[in-house]
Amino acid sequence: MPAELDTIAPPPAPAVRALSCPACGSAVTLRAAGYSVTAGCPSCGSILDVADPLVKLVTRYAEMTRALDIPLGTRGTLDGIEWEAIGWLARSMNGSYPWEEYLLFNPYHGYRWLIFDGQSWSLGEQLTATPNFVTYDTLSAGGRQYRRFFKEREARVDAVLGEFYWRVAIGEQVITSEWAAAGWTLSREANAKEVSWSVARLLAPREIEDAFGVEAERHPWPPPPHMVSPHAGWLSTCVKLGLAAMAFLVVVSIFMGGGRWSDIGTLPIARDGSAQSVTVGSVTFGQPWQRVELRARVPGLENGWVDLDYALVDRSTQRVYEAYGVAERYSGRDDEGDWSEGSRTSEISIASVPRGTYDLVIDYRGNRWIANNPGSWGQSDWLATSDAPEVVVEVRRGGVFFSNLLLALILIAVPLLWGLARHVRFEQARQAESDFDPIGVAALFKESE
Amino acid sequence: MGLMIACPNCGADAVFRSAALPCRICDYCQTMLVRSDDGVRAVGEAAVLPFDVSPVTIGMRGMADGIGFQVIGRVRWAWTDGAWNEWLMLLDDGSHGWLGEAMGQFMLLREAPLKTARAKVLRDVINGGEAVPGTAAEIGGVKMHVADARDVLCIAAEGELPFTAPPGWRVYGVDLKGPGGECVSLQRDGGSATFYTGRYVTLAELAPRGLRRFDGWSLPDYAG
Amino acid sequence: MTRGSFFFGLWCLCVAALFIVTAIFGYSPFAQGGRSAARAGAYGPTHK
Repeated sequence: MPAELDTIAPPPAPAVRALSCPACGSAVTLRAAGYSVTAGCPSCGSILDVADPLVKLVTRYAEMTRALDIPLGTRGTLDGIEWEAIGWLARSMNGSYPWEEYLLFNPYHGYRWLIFDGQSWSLGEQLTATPNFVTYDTLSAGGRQYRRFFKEREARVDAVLGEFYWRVAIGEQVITSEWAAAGWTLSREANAKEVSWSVARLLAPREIEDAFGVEAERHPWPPPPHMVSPHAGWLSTCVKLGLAAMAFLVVVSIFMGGGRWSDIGTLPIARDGSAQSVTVGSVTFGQPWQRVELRARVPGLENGWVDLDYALVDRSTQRVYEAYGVAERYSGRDDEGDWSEGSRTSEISIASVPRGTYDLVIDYRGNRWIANNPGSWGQSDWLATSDAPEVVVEVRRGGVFFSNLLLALILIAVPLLWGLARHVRFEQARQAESDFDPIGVAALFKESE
Repeated sequence: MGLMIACPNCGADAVFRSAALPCRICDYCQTMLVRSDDGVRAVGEAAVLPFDVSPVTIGMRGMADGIGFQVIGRVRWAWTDGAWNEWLMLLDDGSHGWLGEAMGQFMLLREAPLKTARAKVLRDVINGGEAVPGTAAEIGGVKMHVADARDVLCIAAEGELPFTAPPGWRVYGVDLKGPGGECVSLQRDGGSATFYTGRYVTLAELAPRGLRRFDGWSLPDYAG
Repeated sequence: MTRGSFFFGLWCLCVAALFIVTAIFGYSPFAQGGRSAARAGAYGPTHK
């Protein structure tokens, strides 16, 4: 400890020397060519030798500050306060994940930090109050909750230039850990002598460009820990919008619901399986346009089918609207047990039938199905064995096609699902950078690697 | 603000506004003036400490917790790699307070009786031990953590002070911070110790009048 | 963000308008009739 006490020294006394050309004695100037800076004499043209420590000092400082994105001494306004960049640091996690920091100063507002991770800029400030512990992975500070993002790592200073309120030197190390919230990070830095906390706000590219004239990545990838998903905002409003639209369509469907099934007629089916044609009239449709559904039910149908050709003929215009339906029903028994397939009912729909009085012409025929395996059990001829093979025809007017509703709901859902996929992808990429397991939407789909 | 020197060539005044800037051209004789003091030489390897850029100055007035005050003195403390100020405040009710200023942040502190420093970490320091940054302590019902613990040297003293600041005066100082901006400071000087409690404040909160002016910087809105 | 919401709102409006128009005219691309409909070629169960 006594040795350390000895090294605390009062600030050194300033000393200034004039630098002049060793050849002709005139005043020298600094000249920049690309990345290098030389001290030269405008009168005799000679270049000063960097072996002279003063020359080296001057040219090295000029070179280093020229190479920076923000040369030291530049001023910019952020959050309504003017700041001057007075110092610059390059740090890394012992060589990996390098980043840069600028120290900003205003005598009446103190210090701030501009942190550049290679893609985006954040404005940092040291906290005067320690954060509060909320849960094992969450801290709160300044009314905001932060979730852990990076665990403790060693950060090292790789390069330094300019003024700092403590004498930073290359090689200086701290243990740092980070927590993230929407738009903000919270970090802790500790060494043997102190522990400090600071928060940093992610700057919008426009903010940093307007303030210091440096460019920021508009779509940084992978996203920085504290970047809010660009899809989160519109997605939440659009999901509400979409659900409202879907509900509206469902209400419209119910409101425009059609009528009831009404019996048109019962038609006998010839037992010899010959084709028949019956005209059922009259069927009236009252709305300007409507969906027309026709239902044919064959109660005695078994192991056979009845095909029906419908033709709705408008009595006044003689226009014909055709449709085709078939009722098929098969059953039998195999080594797995009884099976059956099909339905004794056939329902078809005809679109856009205009108002009018129609005759319904039905061409129909009953058929039996002979199995390839004549010895199969339970095979019977429904045309022969049922009491009176007949088909009952019913009609229903109006209503909304369920397929249309389904299609409309899908169309509304598709952009939302696309947006959700983009949002999940963003969050997965952002949280993948963390030392800790992902949470929220990113964790939901973790299985799909 | 800055370093004002006389040009060694022509004698005119030249100001180095930034502590890190190693050179400037003399406005009159165009000679390149290069600073050769120790701090500047370490360009690229270590940072330079800023010149004294405190906006507070002796004579400044303000309001602390509803009581008016005037700054009447200052002590400047340095550690191995930095420095800060402690400004003595004379409040309108005749009592004294301290305005600690470090890294652009301000602490409003009052001396408290040493016996109120009961937490273990404080007792250890008073008895000659050291504190480890990050250690927790409950002080006045608030859970606080050690933010800073180091040896410091008094490098300047001016104005009216309640003690003499002898040259080479060294103390061991420990600062603790709480979740609501509370702070306490303990300074051990050989066998004796002094204890201060208070909280962090912003300069704007103190409604300051008579702030120091800086060339090239406009006064803030809160300065009135 | 508000631009995205605007376009999605427009999209919902179009879908809803289309839906209402088809409802008024009783139209659907999935209807079996109103046009010549395809006939089932083969008959018989597809089971096994």
